[in-house]
Amino acid sequence: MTSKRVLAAGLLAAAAVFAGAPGLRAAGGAEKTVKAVGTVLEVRLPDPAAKPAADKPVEAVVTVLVRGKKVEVVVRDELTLKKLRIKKINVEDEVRVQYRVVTEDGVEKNVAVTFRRSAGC
Amino acid sequence: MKTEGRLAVAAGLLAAALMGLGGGAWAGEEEAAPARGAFPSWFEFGGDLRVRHDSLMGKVPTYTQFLGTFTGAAPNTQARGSRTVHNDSLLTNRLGLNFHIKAAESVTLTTRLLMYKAFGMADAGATQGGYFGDRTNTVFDGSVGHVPAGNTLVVDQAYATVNNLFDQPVWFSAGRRPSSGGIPVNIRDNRELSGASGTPALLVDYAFDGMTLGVAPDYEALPGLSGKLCYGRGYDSGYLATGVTPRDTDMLGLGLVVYETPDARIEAQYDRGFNIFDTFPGPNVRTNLGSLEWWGGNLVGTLRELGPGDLTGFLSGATSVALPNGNRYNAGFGTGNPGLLCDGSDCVARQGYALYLGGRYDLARTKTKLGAEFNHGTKNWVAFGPAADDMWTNKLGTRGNVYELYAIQELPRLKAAPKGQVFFKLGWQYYDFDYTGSNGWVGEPKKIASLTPAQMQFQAPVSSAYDIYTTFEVRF
Repeated sequence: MTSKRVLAAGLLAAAAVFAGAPGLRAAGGAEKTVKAVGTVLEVRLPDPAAKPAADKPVEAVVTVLVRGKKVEVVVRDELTLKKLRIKKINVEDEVRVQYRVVTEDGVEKNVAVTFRRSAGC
Repeated sequence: MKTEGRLAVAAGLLAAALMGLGGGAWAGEEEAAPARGAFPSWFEFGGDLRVRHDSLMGKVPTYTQFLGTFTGAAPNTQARGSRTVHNDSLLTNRLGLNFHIKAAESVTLTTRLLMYKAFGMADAGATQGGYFGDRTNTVFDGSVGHVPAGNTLVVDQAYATVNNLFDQPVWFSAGRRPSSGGIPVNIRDNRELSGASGTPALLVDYAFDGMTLGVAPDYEALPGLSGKLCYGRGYDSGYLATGVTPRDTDMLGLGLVVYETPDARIEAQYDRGFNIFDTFPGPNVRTNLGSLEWWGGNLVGTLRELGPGDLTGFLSGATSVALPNGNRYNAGFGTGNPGLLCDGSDCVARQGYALYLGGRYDLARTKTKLGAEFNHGTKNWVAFGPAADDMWTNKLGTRGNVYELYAIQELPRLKAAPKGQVFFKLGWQYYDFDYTGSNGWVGEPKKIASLTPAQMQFQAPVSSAYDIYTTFEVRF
């Protein structure tokens, strides 16, 4: 394969990934999902010694600074909880968050649909 | 600059222009600055210091050394008997200083400065033995800061990144970027490494100036999925008349992390080096020898709480393809001059293979980490790894087998700095070379066991070597 063809194939692949990117917005995406980019200010993990109630999910609460405002996001998925526990996601990391605003037991909560460190390096 | 080089730069500039458009999406959304004190820290400072002792020994078989000159048409040579070469006590000191600055929302600037010296030396003389292509009397742009060279603080990394372009998980980054010490060598180095940064160490371990355009889409079934297009400049030929060689040496890479969780990582990468230089990048480059291609990937996995600790294992594989263009390194032999992995008239495409596997067991209670590694490279294997953290030569560029065992003992001190870490390491490396010219790209590799005493060599062949090393490292 010539150099130009390799380069063209690379650029084409990158373009294809980009073209697909907008469609990815809907990942896990209901209409009422809020998207935000912010910096982690505080992570409150569940007490590992505490036994969770059978009807309550295990969750962590992460405070994220989004455009100058503090937003508390509830994280429940196992993978993200693990990342928070072993500090793969840490205070001062920038994160991309999608969350649903739901009312549970009369309390409004921001429940994470996705919660990831900003990609890139 | 050749067409592909212009295309790559154009792609980078296009990305930069698009980046501006992405920023425009926020126009009018600008809010009042948060109250003072509401900001998390915008400046992060860190670093590391390593003091290392190496005890090195290698065996050189009987051979004939080409002295680089001619008497008439006859090359001047010197017969050299078999011998053992050693440096029983080499002490080195490496200092790294890291700065990470959050300049604006989703915009960061990262810098790493390095000083790496041998005790008692202000130059590279103690470690540039002249036995291998990556340790031959020259510390150059791809290895500076990564091999002992003196007490000067040099810039290892200096790059800026814009994340979340177009409000999507897309980023653009440019500058002197992290392309050394990649996965999985971070495991033996006792460094955390994850995400989309870096390159698989088996393919590339080279300090590159370049740029990256990446995307990390959110697929629930493939956590950690990311892809990136990377460009690097390996050599700039400066001002030249049209049609005159050498041309610039450029590198293009396509990386794909298929899956990444805290306990598993699967990734693949394709790289191509265009217009490979005939000698170390610098004023002595005279021509380009062709192109090199690499395909490879990593599998890394961790089993937690397996007995008294965690077990991390990895498997890396790669192939390299040398595509000579007919040009030769001018050693004065006319048509017998060597080309890209070839000699004389036999300059055709050649493929090499490499395998790298190993693991580390981390004992939770004592904070002891025990590791074992093995790698193998075939006759025509070429790695692009002069920045590797090995004293003899980049072990992953070896045409033969390398075995390594090590033990790390962390000191259980309370952290004063967020990334505080103190540990000692004791390691043993054994190189068993099958072919000459490991980590070189000029000339055809020769089977060491079949070398005849009269067979002329550009560099002293080494048949086997070992390194017993100890380190004391502090990170913050």
